[in-house]
Amino acid sequence: MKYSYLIIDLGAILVPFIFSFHPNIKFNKTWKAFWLAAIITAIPFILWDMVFTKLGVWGFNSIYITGIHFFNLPIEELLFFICIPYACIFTWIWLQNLITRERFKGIEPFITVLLVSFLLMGAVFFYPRLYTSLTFSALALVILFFKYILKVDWLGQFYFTYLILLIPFTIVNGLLTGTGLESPIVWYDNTQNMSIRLFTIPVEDIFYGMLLIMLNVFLYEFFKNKIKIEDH
Amino acid sequence: MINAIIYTGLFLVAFFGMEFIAWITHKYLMHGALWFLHEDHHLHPKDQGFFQKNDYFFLIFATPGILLIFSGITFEMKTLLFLGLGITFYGFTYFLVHDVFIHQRFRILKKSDKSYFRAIRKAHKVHHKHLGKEDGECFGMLWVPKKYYREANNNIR
Repeated sequence: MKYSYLIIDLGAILVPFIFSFHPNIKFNKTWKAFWLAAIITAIPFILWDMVFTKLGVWGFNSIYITGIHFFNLPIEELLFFICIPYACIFTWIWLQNLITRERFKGIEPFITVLLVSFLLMGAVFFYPRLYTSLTFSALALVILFFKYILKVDWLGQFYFTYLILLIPFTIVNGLLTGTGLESPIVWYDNTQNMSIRLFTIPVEDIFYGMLLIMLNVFLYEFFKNKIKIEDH
Repeated sequence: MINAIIYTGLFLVAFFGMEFIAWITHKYLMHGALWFLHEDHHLHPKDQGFFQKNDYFFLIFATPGILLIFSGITFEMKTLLFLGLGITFYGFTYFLVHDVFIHQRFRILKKSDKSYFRAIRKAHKVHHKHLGKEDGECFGMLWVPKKYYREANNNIR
């Protein structure tokens, strides 16, 4: 059906949107910070997406999309970069209410070092498989930049949140890559990734999603604090 | 024809979008976590050599433009090419206005009576009045707030 991808986008945002107004979450109070974060992050991701679509690293199945395009990308793919971050930032806010930031401070350096080493080794070992190398090196550089230059204090909290987010991630990306469907909505050229699939999901997607959400969280927190200071 | 409009539009979006990016990175990154690279740009001119640590920002800010132009040509994607050109032309304009005209790193383009150029010099002088990392003002470059036009025009009279 040609609305499949659109329905997935809207389905991902539906429940988070409704609960945005919950008194313990009040996401609507910080929407401005979210919009700035999502749009700025979307720019490099859309450009990257356009190149990979053109090179055939991945592509879109025309039976599952409305057919409205922005250059070579379906409109649903653009919405993805707003809807998914919306749902994830919602989760970020919700989990921050439940668990304090200090809780994961101890284990954070250990995860960071392990993750960055794994990513850099993967990027070199699987070169020139574009999806693997580019995603792994970009994520490693961003983590190093956040930790050692910007010195953000939320990395531990972020790893924990992302672990929880892997549950909805598996559902959404599972559907997109064809679990339960006749053919995938988004297909991937296995010669450009490690060709290791979690159900139907290429493993690189986990780290691609991590990069997308990490940049969104960083900019969201940044703009939220700036806006708060300016209002006072 | 329609393509020419689209690509000109992309070029302009990139060019003017960079003013926002320049403002926000200057304010929060260069006067933030990357102050160690920007600090020597705020020293008194007598204490500066020909090159500054601040010049590393030329390399940093050139990277997205280089990547876009490179991908645009290699993968035959005009969209990226024109975005890259817009970013790069912004960088070149920035260099001409900021490094050559305002800071006089080359002894050309010394005088101008146009009120825009007087205003821009004035605004950047106000930015440099602050020698420290905090409490700065006027972080933009090519877009100048109205009050500096008024001040620049008043000085002439």
